[in-house]
Amino acid sequence: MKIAIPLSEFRENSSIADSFGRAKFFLIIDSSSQDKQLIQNPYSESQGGAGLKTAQLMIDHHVDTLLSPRVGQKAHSVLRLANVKVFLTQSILVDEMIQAWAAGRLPADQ
Amino acid sequence: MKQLLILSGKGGTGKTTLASAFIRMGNPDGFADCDVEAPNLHLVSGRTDYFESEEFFGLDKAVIDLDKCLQCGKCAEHCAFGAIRMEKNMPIVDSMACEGCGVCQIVCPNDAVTMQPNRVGETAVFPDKPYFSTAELDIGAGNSGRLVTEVKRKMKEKTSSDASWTIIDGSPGIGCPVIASLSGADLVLMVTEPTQSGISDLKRIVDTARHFRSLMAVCINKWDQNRELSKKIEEYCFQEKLIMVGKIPYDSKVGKILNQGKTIVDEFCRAGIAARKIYQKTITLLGS
Amino acid sequence: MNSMAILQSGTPSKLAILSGKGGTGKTFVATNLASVMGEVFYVDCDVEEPNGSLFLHPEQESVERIEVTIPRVNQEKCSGCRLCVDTCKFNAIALVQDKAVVLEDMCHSCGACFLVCPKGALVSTPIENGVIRTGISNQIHVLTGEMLPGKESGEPILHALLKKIENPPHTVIMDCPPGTGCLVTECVREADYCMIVTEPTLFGFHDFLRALDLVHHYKKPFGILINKWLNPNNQVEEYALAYELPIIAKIPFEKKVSRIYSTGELVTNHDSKYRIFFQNLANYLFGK
Repeated sequence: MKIAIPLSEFRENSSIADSFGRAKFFLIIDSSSQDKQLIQNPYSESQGGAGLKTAQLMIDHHVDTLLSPRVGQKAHSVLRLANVKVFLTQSILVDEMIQAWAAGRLPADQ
Repeated sequence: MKQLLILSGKGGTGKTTLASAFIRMGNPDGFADCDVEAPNLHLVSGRTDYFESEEFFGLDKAVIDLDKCLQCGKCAEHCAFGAIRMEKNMPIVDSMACEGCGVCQIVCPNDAVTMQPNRVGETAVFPDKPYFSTAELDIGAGNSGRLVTEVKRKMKEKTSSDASWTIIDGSPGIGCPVIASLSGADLVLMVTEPTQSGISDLKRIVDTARHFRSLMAVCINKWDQNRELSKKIEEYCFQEKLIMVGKIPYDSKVGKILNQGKTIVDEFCRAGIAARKIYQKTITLLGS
Repeated sequence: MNSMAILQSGTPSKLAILSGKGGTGKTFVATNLASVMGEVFYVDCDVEEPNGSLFLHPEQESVERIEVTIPRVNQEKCSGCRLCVDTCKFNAIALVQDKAVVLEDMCHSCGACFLVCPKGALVSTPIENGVIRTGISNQIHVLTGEMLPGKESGEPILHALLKKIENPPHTVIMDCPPGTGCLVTECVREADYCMIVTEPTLFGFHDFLRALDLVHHYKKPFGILINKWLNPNNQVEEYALAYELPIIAKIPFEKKVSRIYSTGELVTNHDSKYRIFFQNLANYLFGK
């Protein structure tokens, strides 16, 4: 399964981005192979519709699970269509967040 | 970060009056005026410090190069918004009606249409604490939803992620600027009034907010102007499981206080006392 | 007030009642004015929160569904080429599991996607955006636009409403929404005369200036009505006097009027003083 996390910098140990649609980068982890991929979000600076376009980006990368600060209503509706599970993050560090998710401590975003 | 949104459905019920009082009492880390068609919060925010303003652009709008135009009329024929009409065989774009969909550009056989940047308003951010983000939509412009989203984004940019809370003063109605403001709100406080119009509009805004699964609370402004209708509102809230957080009595002092650019908790008045109680209840709800 | 008719008598004219700020009394003035004018059209253009019917109680109401056309994807024909996704300026189409999916609430019905789909996989589908109610109240033809809660824009409803009164057999009173956005602008464009209803408050004055800008932009003849008037020391009056803008009436604030309004009643039915006032206003505007 592929897990995506929005980042503020283009490195694995970056802090988590403040928002989903405006995140400049994403870390995508393949839970089976443990492969990690850093991607750029070309839509982070969009005047409008950043959330929607970023949601499409997640779908295009076959993301199954998203760990993110709050995701907007519209972006959410797109993610739901693609059965992407969204979990809300409180943490600011990637490792912390993944541990919290794995332990089932992150609330699912409805 | 917790976000409190103040809406009403009906205009003139007292959103900004209450929002400004809450801001004064609560000292939030940030606040925003999302009534972009008629922003008023800055008039009572008491802010005279430095602010940064920026032009805001909506969707690009169609511009036709008449030199390239073949006068085929396809653009006018296909425009779903009636924004292009043919005058003496030349197409004229009504940029206020143009929605920026790009259909004319798609159908034009000679690439005579380009989509060009279109200013629809201006944002202003007071970057010193407490962060205040506001904006004004140019008259007649669309894209109000996008401008609201931008106002909120600019406020979020300034308020750190572990900031305690923010307040948003919303707009009347139930359309796109309201919908844009609903996204991300932890608690929506509806300010209503005991009139038939107020009740009718409250029901519609509640329906709209329900669509977005927002947590809602209600307060009644000028409640003693019609006690029977106030009771009706309370019954409605009970039936619909909306949290009633309080009532503000009609207070002739309010107008005079606001006209001085002050909030109703800056001077002693009955409305201010009631607002304090509502504030306490609302903050408790927001915290939970 | 003179008894000189502002609008040509004998030609059915369209009056737009706007305000900038919500809650100043647009519907109050519009419905009461209509009630003394014999055969007239009252058009409730506040399609997000229509209230006129609460006061006019129209009978024999016919309801017309207003639909917009949106695309739906024929999954079998869709090849997942993404052209529609990339073309849609409103981000209303997503690609999920290699098939296009339409986000209906985001669609503006522009038709761009239909034009670019190479497989004819998009099907034109009508969905309801709201309704138009047509009824009669004594001699008043009541037309009410009502958008479905949750929809982004009431523009299709308003457009259909205005089409109905394009060449009206009687005078038309358009009760506009609050603000100065695209819905109000359409009403102003349609009008022969604009009445700006304002109130003597800080917020009222500020938003009045926006309404004035809008009316000036379309070079419409206009007049100002100050509602809930208290005394001549108010910014609207001072401004109007300074710039020689026409104040056509001032309605003094009266608790009794607020009460009657709150119960959804017409003040012209309860107080002959107001009946006479609105008759004079009608004479002034339309001549008799």
